[in-house]
Amino acid sequence: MPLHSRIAWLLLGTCLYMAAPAHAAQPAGLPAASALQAAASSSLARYGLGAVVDVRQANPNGAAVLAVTPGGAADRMGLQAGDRLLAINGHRLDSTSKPSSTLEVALQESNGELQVEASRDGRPLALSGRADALRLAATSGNPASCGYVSTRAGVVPRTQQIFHADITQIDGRSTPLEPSYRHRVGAGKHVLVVREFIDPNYLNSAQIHQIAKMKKFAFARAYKSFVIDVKPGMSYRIGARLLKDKLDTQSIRDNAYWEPVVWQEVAEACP
Amino acid sequence: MTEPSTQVRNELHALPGIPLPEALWQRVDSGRRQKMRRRKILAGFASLVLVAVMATPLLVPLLADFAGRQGEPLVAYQPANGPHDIQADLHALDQALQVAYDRGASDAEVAPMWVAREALLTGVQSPRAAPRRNRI
Repeated sequence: MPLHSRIAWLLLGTCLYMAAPAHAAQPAGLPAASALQAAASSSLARYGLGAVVDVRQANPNGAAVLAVTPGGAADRMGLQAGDRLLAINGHRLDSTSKPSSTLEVALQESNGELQVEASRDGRPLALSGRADALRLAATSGNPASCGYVSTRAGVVPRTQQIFHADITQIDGRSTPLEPSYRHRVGAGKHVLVVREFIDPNYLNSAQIHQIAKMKKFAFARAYKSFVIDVKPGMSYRIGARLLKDKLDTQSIRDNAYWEPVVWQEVAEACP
Repeated sequence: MTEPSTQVRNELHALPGIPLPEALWQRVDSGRRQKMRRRKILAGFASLVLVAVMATPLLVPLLADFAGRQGEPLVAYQPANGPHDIQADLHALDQALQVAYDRGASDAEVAPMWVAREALLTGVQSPRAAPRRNRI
């Protein structure tokens, strides 16, 4: 085939591809993303403590309360950050090998009633109250109340210093390892953790070097988190905005040179 | 002008052939090749113009959308406004953090959520809500 004909067909193909609606492109990873959401929905508890508890490892001193949600069950009962949970509703957290599952069982099987044994600075505490009824994210399966968060749909407005980003976690769960640029989520508040893919062509060599060095040491700490309020039938395009005035050495060290942004909201019905 | 006589014509035919210069055929070939190249370039250019004309109706909505987007204000993430929003965001963050701890996430993985939580906490007055400094 002559060269000019090949060029002509290539150009035509490119035009047709670009003109196709963004929502028509269904990423290959979507089923995996849906599976993730389904798994997320099914594993959510009906009751919560209203606190962040470190249940990663068994500890004979109990599970550490890392933070208390203002106005939540733990806050109402008087728990404080720094306290240690010894038992909930008779389930011991100081002698279990799996504090995560023990806490989950303890919270769910009492119909929301809580009897907590804790310790504060070595002194025992006995607290009681009612658990928080959690908002279930199971609505992600309902087309009428779900939306999308995506990172590669549309044309990122680089002229406004906005570049591609990647969503690494949604509501504390890791996103699939395989490329999936669009995630279906239930309507409501969601916590995203995002990493930036800022085009190095917009940075000088010293900045590229400093950013690479910072990322090497910070690893996942170089990501950023924010809360997004997803409305039903909407798709939110997430990107990373380069802050040109924060490209000095200290700002790069502090990971302050970029911020996650929702650069576009488009209507997109859930099938 | 009168026709040459048959005799003259025969005499002309009888004349010996003149040897042509060696470079003549090369010049003729090169001229022919240039002519062909010009034709190909012209044909290619015409094809591109044709494709561009055909693709214009397809590209117009895309270009219009892009131009419109340039003028649209971006919805950059901003911290929640008002105590109710902050409380809802904190609730979502704490749930996400607990889910991360439940699955055994590393300190580095949960760190961005703690940073976001600290940023939100500046608008909350409850001292019990403050996380321990040695959490990470």
